Amino acid sequence: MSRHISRLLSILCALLFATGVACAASLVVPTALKASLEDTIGQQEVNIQLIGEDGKLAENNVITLEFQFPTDKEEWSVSHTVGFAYSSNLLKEKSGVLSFDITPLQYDADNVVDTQVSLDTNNSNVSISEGKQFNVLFSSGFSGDVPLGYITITASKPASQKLAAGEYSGSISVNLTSSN
Amino acid sequence: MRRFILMVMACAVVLMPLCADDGQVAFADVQSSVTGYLLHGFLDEKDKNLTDGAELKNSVIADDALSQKGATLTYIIKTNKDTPLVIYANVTPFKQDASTTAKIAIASVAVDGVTLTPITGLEFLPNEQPSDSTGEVSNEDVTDTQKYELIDFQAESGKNEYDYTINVKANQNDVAEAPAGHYISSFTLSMASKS
Repeated sequence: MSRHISRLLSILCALLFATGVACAASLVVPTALKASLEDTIGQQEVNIQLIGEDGKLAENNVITLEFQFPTDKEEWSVSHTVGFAYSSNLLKEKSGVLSFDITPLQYDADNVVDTQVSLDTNNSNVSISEGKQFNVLFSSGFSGDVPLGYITITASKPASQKLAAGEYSGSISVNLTSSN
Repeated sequence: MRRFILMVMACAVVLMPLCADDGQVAFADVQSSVTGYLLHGFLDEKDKNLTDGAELKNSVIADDALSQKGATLTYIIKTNKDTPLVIYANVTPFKQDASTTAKIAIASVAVDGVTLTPITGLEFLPNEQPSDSTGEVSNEDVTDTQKYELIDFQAESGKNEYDYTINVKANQNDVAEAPAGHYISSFTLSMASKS
């Protein structure tokens, strides 16, 4: 009987010892960690850019067009084209109007060349109203160098008009007004 | 019967010191051991310069994460066991909080200046998630998530703190063309023992 008891005791002790050793040896792997990496990209308002006839964006948004008037013809017309594009990063879409102020090519008050503009666009978010302004729906999100359309400026002289020799100059300015 | 004897013996062992008679000397062997510990956590940005006593965090928020410098996390492991460990990271792309599908990819993950390559096809069971999670991970995120084996090391006896600097950079091409808004990437770090 006592042999049984001592055997049981030794088994019990062995079990207790083994459990203790196991507890001391194993390490509890800690819980996972979580980091939230955050940042905000700010809204960028609409920025209109000019595109030259070479297809390149104009530096400082200024383009110089040189009209060479024919000297061997009584009646003539000369045209040049300027393109428009925009960049923006809007939280919400917005509409805008791109309009143009034109001063005709002139030498002085008596020598003015008739200067006309015509608009065209391939952008489905752009419509032309009254033949002289672009109505634009600017999309939300990032838009980089999105073509809006182009304007063709035509200087023309009828045969009946006499022009003084010299340097003629005119200007066209672009205005953007947005509705919201 | 054996079970009964076993119970009686167990009680006897427990009660033995209490049964000692007055005047008798009772001896007890006192044995103890230093238990092993294994802790890890992030240091808050404001605590980075603390040499001592900085609290390890289960979760942190790193700002300016879309900058060219990326987000930097200070990760610390504390242990008194010489045990082999592997640290894994799951990183989701940056996503907007709103319902947009805009994403910004993770360009690189580096530990102490060494850029790591994501691991694919490796299955592992992440540790239990922290209760105060800073963001929810959707099923969609799981497919986008990149897994990295960040650190594979053998803790040395006698040294009990290991500091690492983790840097996560966003794809700057994506940043340049991402819609305006607030973006969050989830960086989950789990530990596995190789022993």
